[in-house]
This record gives sequence, structure tokens and C-alpha cells, in this order.
Amino acid sequence: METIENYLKKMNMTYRVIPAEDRIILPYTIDDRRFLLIIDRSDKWVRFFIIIVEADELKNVDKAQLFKSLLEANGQLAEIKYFITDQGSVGVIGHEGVASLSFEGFQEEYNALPYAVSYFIANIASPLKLDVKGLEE
Amino acid sequence: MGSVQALGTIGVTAMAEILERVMQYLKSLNLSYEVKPVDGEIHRVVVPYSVPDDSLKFDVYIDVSGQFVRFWVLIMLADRVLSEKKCEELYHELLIANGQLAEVKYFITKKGDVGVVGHEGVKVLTVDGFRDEFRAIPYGIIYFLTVIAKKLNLSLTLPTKDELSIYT
Repeated sequence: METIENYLKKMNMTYRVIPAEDRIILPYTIDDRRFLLIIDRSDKWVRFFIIIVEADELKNVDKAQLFKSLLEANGQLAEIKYFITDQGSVGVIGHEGVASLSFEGFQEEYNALPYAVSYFIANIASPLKLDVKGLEE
Repeated sequence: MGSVQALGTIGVTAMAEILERVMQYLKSLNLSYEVKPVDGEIHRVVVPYSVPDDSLKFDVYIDVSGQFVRFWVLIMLADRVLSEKKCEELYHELLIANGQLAEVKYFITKKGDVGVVGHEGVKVLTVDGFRDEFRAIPYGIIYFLTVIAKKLNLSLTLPTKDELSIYT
């Protein structure tokens, strides 16, 4: 985690460390909405993710079309991987191997996430008339 | 957000250097390969792969372009007809797996083919990163066949080379 913190400092990012969960949290404003970018790690992987829409906001959404759009985007966009949680929330996630971790690789993986949120709002949520609210104040 | 922009063009020399590195990495992993030019900006490296007990054989495609090295395989073609309900269940399982498996990214084409894909930026390409991305492809296929297909009671075999010829 020290290496990751050093990378974030180098990128001038504001972050919060949650030692009990071994996580780093970065508040992020994307398209005027607030999100949390979360970084954690296992022995082998550094994981970056943002939950874009919580499951309860998807009750009236055409799930089949949503899933199709997410999987199509996964094929078209490099470094971007949309996923859903066991609870049904939609997010974007990236992994970087601990053994191959470099500042450039970290930065590339990290930068893809806010772009993916923006892409989701404009190209996936909008046609489905899904209002992405982000976190409440 | 440079990492997700459209692929740009790079010089012929730079492209040759990237391709050379990809070939070196494959040699270091003891994998045979064949290089096939696709168009002016992409070179495709075809890597025949079989799982340790030889029960599963397939080609992994590695497309080398200006910004990314793209690893991909199609697992199930769109002509495999699934009911709407089964299709939604499959997509749901693929998206769940995307969150659980590091480096494995399931996707579908516009046509509806299902595959697994990975990208590595050429600027950050290392042998370790290359190996991680490459290994994720066979792992993604095996996971699809042994976990996802099994859970959904889908009986399938991987597309044949003939069936894939229009893509490759």
C-alpha cells in the first residue's frame, strides 16, 4: 500500500486510507456527480473499482439491454471492465499485478476508471433513461 | 484519459519493435506462434494453446496495434441460439465473473458472439504484464466452460477454426 500511496502522491491525488480494511478511498467528481474510487490489494493483485449505480436504482431498468450494453462496451474499450456485484450494483474495475506494478501501469489503469464512469453515463445509462445520481451529499 | 482513446498510428519501426517484444515474450513462455498481418496498423499473432491434459485446444489471438496489445478468443458464437431468459442469465453471470476474476474480461460483439479479452498498453508492456494478460485468456475460457456454462446447464464446445475463419 505504501507504493500505491507514493503513486497517488506523485499524481497529486487526495485520498483517505482505511487501515482496518486495507483500502484507499478517493472521492471523485465525474460529470458533476460524486463517486468513490476504491483501491485495495491482495497478495497478487492491486484492484481499483468504482460502483457507478447501486442495485436499488436499477429496479425499472431493462436489465437485458443493460447487461448487453455493458458487455459490448467491455469488448470495445481497452482497459475498461464493467461488472456487476452479487447484490446487482454496476461498477467498473481494473486489476494490476503486484509483480508487474509500475507507476505508468498504475496510472493507465487508474485513469481508465473515471473515463469508464463518464462513458457509462453518456452511452449506456442515457439510452436506457437511467438517471445516474452518484453518491448523495 | 489517454488509455482509452481510439487507437492511433505509430511508426513502422516502433510497431516492429513492439511485435518483436511480443514474440520474445511468447518465446520466454515457450509458446509457438504465427504472425499474420491483418491491415496496415494491426499485426495478429496466433498462438495455439492447449491445457495441460490436452483436453482443450484453441488459438489465442494477439492483436498488436499502435497503443495496445489485445489478447482475445471467441468462446461462443452468436449462432448458438439461446432463449431471451437464458441469454440474460448468461450475460449476468459473465458480468459477475468480470468482477470476481482479475484480468479476465468477458465481452460480447455487436453480433452477439461471446469472448474473453485483455489489453496491455504498449507503453507499459513488460514480460510480467504480458504473461498475466495472456494467462487470463485460457483461464477465462476454462472458467466459462467449467463454471458458467455448467451453472447455466449450457452444453457447448469451443468454435472450430472453420467457424472462426470469418473473424480471423
